[in-house]
Amino acid sequence: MNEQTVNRRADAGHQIRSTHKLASLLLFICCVYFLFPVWWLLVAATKTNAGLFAGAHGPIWFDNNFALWSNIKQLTTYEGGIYWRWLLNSFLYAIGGGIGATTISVMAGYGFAKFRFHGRKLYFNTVLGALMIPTTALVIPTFILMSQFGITDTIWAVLLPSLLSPFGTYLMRIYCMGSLPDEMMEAARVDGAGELRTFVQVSLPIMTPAITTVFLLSVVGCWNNFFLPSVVLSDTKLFPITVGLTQWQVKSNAGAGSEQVWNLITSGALLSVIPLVLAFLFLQRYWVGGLTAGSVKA
Amino acid sequence: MPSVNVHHIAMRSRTVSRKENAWGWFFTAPFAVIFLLFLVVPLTYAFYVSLFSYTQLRGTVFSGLSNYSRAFTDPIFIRGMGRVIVYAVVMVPVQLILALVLALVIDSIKNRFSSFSRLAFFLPYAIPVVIGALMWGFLYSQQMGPFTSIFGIFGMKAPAFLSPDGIFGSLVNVVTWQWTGYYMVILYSALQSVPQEIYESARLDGASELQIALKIKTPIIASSLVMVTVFSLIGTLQFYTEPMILRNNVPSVIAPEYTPNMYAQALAFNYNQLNYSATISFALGLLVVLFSVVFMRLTRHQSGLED
Amino acid sequence: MKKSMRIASTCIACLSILLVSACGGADSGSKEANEAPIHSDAKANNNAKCQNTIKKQGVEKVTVWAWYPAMEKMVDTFNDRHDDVQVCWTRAGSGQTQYQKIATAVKAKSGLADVVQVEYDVISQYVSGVEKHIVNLNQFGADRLSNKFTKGVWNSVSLGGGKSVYAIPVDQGPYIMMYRKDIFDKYGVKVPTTWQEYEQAGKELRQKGFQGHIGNYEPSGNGSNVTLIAQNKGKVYEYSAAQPDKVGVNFTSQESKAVMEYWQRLAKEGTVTTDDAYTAEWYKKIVDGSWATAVCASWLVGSLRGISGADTSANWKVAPAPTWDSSTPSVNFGGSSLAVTDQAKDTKMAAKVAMEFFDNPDIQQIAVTESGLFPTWTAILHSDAFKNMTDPFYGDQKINNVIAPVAMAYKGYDFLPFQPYAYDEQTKVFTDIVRNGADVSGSLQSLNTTLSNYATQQGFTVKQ
Repeated sequence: MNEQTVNRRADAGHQIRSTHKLASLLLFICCVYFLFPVWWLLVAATKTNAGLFAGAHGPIWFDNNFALWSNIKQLTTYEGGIYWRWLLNSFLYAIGGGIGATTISVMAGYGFAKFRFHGRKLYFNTVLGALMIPTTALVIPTFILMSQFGITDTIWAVLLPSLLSPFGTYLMRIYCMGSLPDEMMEAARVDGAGELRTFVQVSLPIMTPAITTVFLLSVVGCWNNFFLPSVVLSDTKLFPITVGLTQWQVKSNAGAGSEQVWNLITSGALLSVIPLVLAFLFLQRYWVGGLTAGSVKA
Repeated sequence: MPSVNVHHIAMRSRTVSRKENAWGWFFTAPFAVIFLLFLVVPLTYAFYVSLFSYTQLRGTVFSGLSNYSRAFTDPIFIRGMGRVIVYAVVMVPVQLILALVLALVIDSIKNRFSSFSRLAFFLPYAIPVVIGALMWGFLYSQQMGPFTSIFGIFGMKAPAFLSPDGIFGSLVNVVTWQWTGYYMVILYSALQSVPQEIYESARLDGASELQIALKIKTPIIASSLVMVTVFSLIGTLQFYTEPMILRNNVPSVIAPEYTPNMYAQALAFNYNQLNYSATISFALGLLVVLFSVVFMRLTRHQSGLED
Repeated sequence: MKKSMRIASTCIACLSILLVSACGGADSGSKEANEAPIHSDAKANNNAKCQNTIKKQGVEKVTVWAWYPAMEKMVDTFNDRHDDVQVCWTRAGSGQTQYQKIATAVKAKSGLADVVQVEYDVISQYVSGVEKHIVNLNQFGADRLSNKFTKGVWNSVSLGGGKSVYAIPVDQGPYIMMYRKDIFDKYGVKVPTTWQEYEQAGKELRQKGFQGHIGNYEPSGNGSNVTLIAQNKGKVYEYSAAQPDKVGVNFTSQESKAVMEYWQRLAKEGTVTTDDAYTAEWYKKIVDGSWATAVCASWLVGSLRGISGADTSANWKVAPAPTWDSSTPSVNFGGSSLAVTDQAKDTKMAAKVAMEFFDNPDIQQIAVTESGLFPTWTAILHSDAFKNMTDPFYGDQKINNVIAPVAMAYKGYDFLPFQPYAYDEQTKVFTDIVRNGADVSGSLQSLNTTLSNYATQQGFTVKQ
């Protein structure tokens, strides 16, 4: 090893260290940016209305009056504790819609990837096209169609449309194409396994990372769902949390006949984001794998 | 062995066995039903509805494609469309560049702080868009938000986030805050799946980390970048929830027809013009598909979105 | 091959069935009808879902959408006293969000409640043109009730005081001025009684070191801006049941111009702010002493509950709204009524609920004290108990001595059958006038043109 190389190494080392410092600073600034609103929510959830409007210590520090517990108590009594019902509904819609959408997408992705059938090309291209259609554009026509069948204002009006996941199907197809060799399926068939058994016993286990991804993405999609439920539901007992909290916001902003429930909005918002945040932080490892499969060309 | 394979594939591509055809449809049938019921039928219906016009005194009459000629000459629709295109031009690169930079940085420094950062950046994605927008509505408030006092420390006046001049940047910020972490995670995981040996040889050749990031890592994850761009493009053209929620804070700054989607909603629910609303929705859908197709054509090599 | 063809054709068949059933609904609204239809199915609501708990089983139910505070308590009281009918209530939204629910149910031709709360400014849009979604209650004897209510609101529910009655009044919003006595005292400024004094007092407060403003002009205030112009005898919107095909739009009158020039000047001078109304920020500024007055409807006090403690030094009083001159009329902003819809399952029973729901001293008591509604019932307005009522918010001032006369003197005014659209356009133009200093005459002229064109496009004749 001559002197020059050593110098170059040292230079590089120095450079790396200073780049590291700069990079760490960038990460720190971004952490502040991304976490700051969350911190605000955490603080705001502990305030009364008066505290939110004119409390001591400003918006990013706790008021003298720590009202988180009384806010939570108020959430359990206000309008008969409907908040908890909304939270439960959101879980139901998210889990139910997630399982349904995943099942359908997994089957369809597998079908598209592994079987040549008539009309497949056209069919799949239509699915790709569907990825681009603004879903909000479909809300009003969907609503009118549902009302013809009398399913508006029922849980089905929220659950059934959330079963549609062109993106999940697309992701599953890519994954199946990349990770399920035809030879393996042939081998299973030669061993006398039927198509269903091959699917369940051979293919599904391999598809697990992608399934987790599609499931979590669908869950988030359903959890986020706002426009459609706000149109198809009138019964407040069926609202998901997003629609419910927005209704409280509108109620607080209504002018005539309004009630100021900002403290319930902030504490309700905080409580509602906790489950999903935790789920994501702990499950991150499991679901990012499938996402990569979809993006890196197989 | 390879020759057998080729032969096999060639055989298969010529004939489709009855059995395979049936199984293919079996697996895709549930999707087809949902796809028909909740996409094709509503879309067809929206198109059908858009062929009629409703006025309060004359009721509903068939008007053919005249709603479409009205839409494409409607200054409100055109302005809304222009607005979301400007949003797309600004917001998509901002999110993408930030997501890419953060993904590259986290990928190159692997320590506890960087894994904490990864979680922190991703956190907003787990917060529903509605609630995120509600939160920012508070934060932007001159009276109730923190920025008045934060800027006050430096003797400055906080920017008027919700003024006509500030609203554009404020909405870009809400979306950036909510989605950048998600895109970053996609890009980061793409980086993770690249074998480390590729970088090692570059390092031995004396390439700096920055050079490796720009010249090796970024091209490798190009397909992920394209996918993320398409998502963010489609999302932006459909811009709806964030301005809708912030509108409750500043109704005079964000007009009811601020974006095409909001316009369609106002027409249907506030102005009693369902038919024209369907036209706007349909026209918007057409334009979004057009934009996405053009974009994917341009980036066909990287996208992996071809059959 | 054949199989896939069969599947494909089945799908097409499914699709066409769906489309036919869907399309059937699309154009049936074109039939000409003079009145909203009535129905008489007493059992249709047996399985209706209600937000309140109904204790009496096997009794006919009437579904109601309303967003009054303390509604559940009023519903329970009503249900306790009735054995022939039970109210099944839902809070389907507040204001605009509930109207959206009405709009969707109308499109779907199902799912609408029997009785709905509607504000006075939206009634005409449900009864004009070929589609009528609110029932004329005259056929159920509602016209006999006219003496029970103040003249102004009766005018509003009958769209011009004729024979038709489209809703039963509940509350109203007499236009008054709330002011911070402590602020006026501190700076030694006289509380204004006219708009000229208001401008002077505003300047004086600023000169004497008051950091806030005397008040706020809300370009997005919708009805409140119509009210401000009405106070100067400007009649911007005209519509009556007597001439259902005609509308009047008049923003170009001297009266309208004078009002808008006034607010433009005050905004330009920095005497008033021009914040948007009914946002969290706006409520905060009302309670934290940023504004020394709020010229508004009397119901505003009810909305401040829960936040009014934010500034403990506040000493609120109520006074009549500033006037232009001695002939300035008493005006009103907001308030609402109960209407019966064309989807009411048993129209007669629904009409009974609309007419009788608030016709009970106990419920009126809850409405006034707990919901914070300002009554439209003349009996209450005249009662000593009401006149002597004090409100701790106003330092136990006998506020109804100020507010009740405004309510009694209000004559009512009209709203367009496409009022939500008119409000949105109004907001754009008023914003431009007070924030950007746009030319008043030109802006009002273009607003007039926009609304007239829209009216013509919807098939109405515009009065010249």
